[in-house]
Amino acid sequence: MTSFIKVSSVLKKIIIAVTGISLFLFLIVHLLGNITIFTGSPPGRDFNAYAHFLESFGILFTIAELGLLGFFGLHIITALYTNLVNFKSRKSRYAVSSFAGGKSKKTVASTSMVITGVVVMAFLIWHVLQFRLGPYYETIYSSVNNGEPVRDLYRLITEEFSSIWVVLGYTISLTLLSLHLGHGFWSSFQSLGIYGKTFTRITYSVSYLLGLIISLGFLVIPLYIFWIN
Amino acid sequence: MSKSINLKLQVWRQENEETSGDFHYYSMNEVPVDISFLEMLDILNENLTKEGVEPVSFDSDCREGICGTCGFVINGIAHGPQAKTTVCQLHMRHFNDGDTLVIEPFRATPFKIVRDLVVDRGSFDKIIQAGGYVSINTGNGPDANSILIGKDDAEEAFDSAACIGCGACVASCPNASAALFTSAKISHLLQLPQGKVEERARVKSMVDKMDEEGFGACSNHGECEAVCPKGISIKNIANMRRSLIKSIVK
Repeated sequence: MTSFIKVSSVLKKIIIAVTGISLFLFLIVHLLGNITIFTGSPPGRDFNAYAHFLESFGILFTIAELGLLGFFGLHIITALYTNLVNFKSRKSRYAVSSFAGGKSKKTVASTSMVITGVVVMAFLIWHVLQFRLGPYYETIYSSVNNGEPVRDLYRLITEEFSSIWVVLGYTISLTLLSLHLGHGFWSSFQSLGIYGKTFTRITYSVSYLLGLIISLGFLVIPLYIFWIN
Repeated sequence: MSKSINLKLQVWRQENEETSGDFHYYSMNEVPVDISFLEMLDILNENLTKEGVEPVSFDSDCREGICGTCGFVINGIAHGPQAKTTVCQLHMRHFNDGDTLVIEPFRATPFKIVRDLVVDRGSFDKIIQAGGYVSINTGNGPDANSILIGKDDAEEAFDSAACIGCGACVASCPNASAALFTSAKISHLLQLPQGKVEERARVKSMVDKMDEEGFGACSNHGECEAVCPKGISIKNIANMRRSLIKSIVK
């Protein structure tokens, strides 16, 4: 623990950036996988087949899951610790705080990373309990896995997303996720020392858009399932 | 007769570091718009002295925007609303008649409040002492042009060297991070052959000192660049990070 605290603030930000970018890539893969929800007949066949395909990797799948958990853990712990130090570095607060504008990249999103982060973390725990560790249903059709039944995750999502409260919870969490990614994406490159006049301008200008696209992409699913029910 | 405006000032008054401070309210009438912000405070202080009230303490030296001595926060923005300007070069024409101006010192745990708007920026000196120099171990300094430097490199290094160490970057940073100051100094020397020699030891030592002094971590808000009177770019912070990665990997 002492050796972790001793790591310089710059290196801690590098850890946050590397894990952040990796989690960002994971989100893209997760989003692409989710497309299978909309394909196949009967509905959910492709989605269940995709989930079964991932699980069929056995030990490798478990290692990947644990790795992902490790990345999330490292990202969260480093960020929370850094925030604690940042909080201590200004004990007396300003009576008035403002946005300087111009070249500043300070936004509501950039100043609320720890809040959006904590909400997303809570959402993540809920999401994993809801689906990965949720009730186990088996498919009743035989077009996947040579007729052997597989886990019917599609049935679980249709059940979960039939509740307006669940859909509302997802909407709020994903909106905050979009803000988190909006500052996080371009900021990761800057934290890694990757700066170029054009490069930084482009990554900054697409950052919030990417965050919005990813969040909307995820949000389509609960909304779509709620709609067809 | 030049134009004048009336202002309401809300100024942070604090006896010293140990005591707690609070805001005092002053009305300023018929302030000529052609004077600088510090000259406006000079008038306030003359009035306060006549009334037998202790004048407001604030730092200033050259009053032409090049020394980095002056600086405080006006309405939540370090050095006030005008970009690339120190408070001594900020003129009253940028304000409107009837404005209320909230004037606070640069707030950061490592910047102890000496009195009112005066803060101790000695932490910056300690960061420089940790490695912000080129060691000359013996003899005289080398001749000025004995090492040739390309124009682009010289310009880049000069852009970083333009930092006057006023502390506005720390004051404006939501995390009170000194990353822009430290990185400007590192980056300045890094881009010159004389400074390259000690690059690895310097970056590590200066970054460690920055943390030790109690500054926060940079979260890339970029507010520092926007308030910097010399327009120092956050590119310097990226340079510092690259340099630190290089010092570990090599």
